[in-house]
Amino acid sequence: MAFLEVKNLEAYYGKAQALKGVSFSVEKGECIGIVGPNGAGKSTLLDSIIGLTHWRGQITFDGVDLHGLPPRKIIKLGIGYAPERGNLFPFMNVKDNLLVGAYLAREKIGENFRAVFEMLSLLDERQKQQAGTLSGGERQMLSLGRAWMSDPRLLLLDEPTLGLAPIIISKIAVTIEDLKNRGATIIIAEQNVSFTAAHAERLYLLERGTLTMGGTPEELKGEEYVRKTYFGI
Amino acid sequence: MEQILIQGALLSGLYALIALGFTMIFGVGGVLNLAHAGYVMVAGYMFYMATYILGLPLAAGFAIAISVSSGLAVMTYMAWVRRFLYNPVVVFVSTLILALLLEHIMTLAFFRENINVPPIVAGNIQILGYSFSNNLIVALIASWICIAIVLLFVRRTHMGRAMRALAMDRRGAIISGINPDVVNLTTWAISGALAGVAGIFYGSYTFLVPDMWVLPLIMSFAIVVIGGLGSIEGTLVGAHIVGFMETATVLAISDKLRSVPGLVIMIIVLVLRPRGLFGR
Repeated sequence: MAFLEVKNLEAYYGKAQALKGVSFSVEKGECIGIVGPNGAGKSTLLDSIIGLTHWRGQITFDGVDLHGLPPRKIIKLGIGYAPERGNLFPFMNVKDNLLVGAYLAREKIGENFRAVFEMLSLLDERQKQQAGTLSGGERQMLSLGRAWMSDPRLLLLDEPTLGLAPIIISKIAVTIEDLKNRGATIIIAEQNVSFTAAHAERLYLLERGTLTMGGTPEELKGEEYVRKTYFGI
Repeated sequence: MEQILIQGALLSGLYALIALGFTMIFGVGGVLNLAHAGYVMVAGYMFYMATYILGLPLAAGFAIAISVSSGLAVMTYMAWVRRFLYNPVVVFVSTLILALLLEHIMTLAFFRENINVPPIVAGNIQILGYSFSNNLIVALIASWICIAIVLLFVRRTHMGRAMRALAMDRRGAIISGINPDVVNLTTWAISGALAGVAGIFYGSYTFLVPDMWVLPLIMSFAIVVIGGLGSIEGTLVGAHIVGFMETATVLAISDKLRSVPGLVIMIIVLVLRPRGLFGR
């Protein structure tokens, strides 16, 4: 059985059906990308895995059925989430934001603090700064760091490059490679297909709630539709 | 002037204690608990009953009063409020009704008579030539000890950080593994305990009567509006503005106008800065 197995997943965003029979799997230590346009259902998919939506179908993580589990139990099982908008705590400093991330992994606070500050040294320098005063890129890094503080075995990253300048995107790219080197299993949901293709071993194309294609980045680049629509080649 | 400063500081500490629990509930859960001042009143009666009617030691009186007010707050949340956290109007109206219900229960139990509670600490102390009751000084010290404990708890513990996180971004808190229900329940329990401490001292500062919750509620409301709903720092500043203005009014004009300055400042703040001085 795969590390994460998603079968026939159906979920609603309000009254609209956001996911229609989505199935895919992730192996341990793998980095996969879910790519697609805005509104395709990428965030709903990650929200469903972490337990924020009501869904039908099957999601199992490391053999455990996630159906009906609240987010805190799913996080305790080892899934960390860095959402699209960060959902940081703006009037708390960087250190306290990270400590909140460690709410369920208190026994590993020291170890994970060291790992976060090694990967994201900027957060070490800004420990006392209020999160609300950070730039977009710094907030994205803090969101990533906070997710890592929960000591995850699977990391969900929603639009990690959204609205960021190229120089910041390159820093996020370095961090993702660092996470991979540390053995993290990662799902990246992104509109930026080129970015995701550079880091993921496999890509899934999500369009209007349905996974329409899947394969290695090279395989997807081989498809004319994908090349024209998403790579602009 | 010296008397206004000292007396004002004493009253402000008590007001800060009452308003702190009120603002914590709003900050974390986004609802106003108007029964909060009712817990203050019930705690005053419980302390009086335990200590002066049943003759139990002071420590037992404290424990009973604080347990009852905290228990009432927990029951209010568990039995009713948690189902309506997304409907602040229902919570606003129903907790007002609960406060009135508590008033009627206390009227049935103790009648509508003013009960003078003997001071917890007897005697007076001379400061700068003015006489102040030791009871009020102890109330001030106890208030600030409680406030300091709450501030430390909120800033230094995981549960305290969880409370602040939930107040700032509910979704962010949930994806960090926080259980909003447990955090809300803890906040209500602490808030009720603060109301208990306040009730013990407020009862001996004034006197016990079943409708004694109305003035603390109005003052708490004014304080948190002035300071900024949900802001602990704002509540402490707001309590001192209201406490000093009230003391100055009582000493310089008339006791009958004691609540007027706080309400006038509240209206000015609502017009000029609706978020309050420290509101976000």
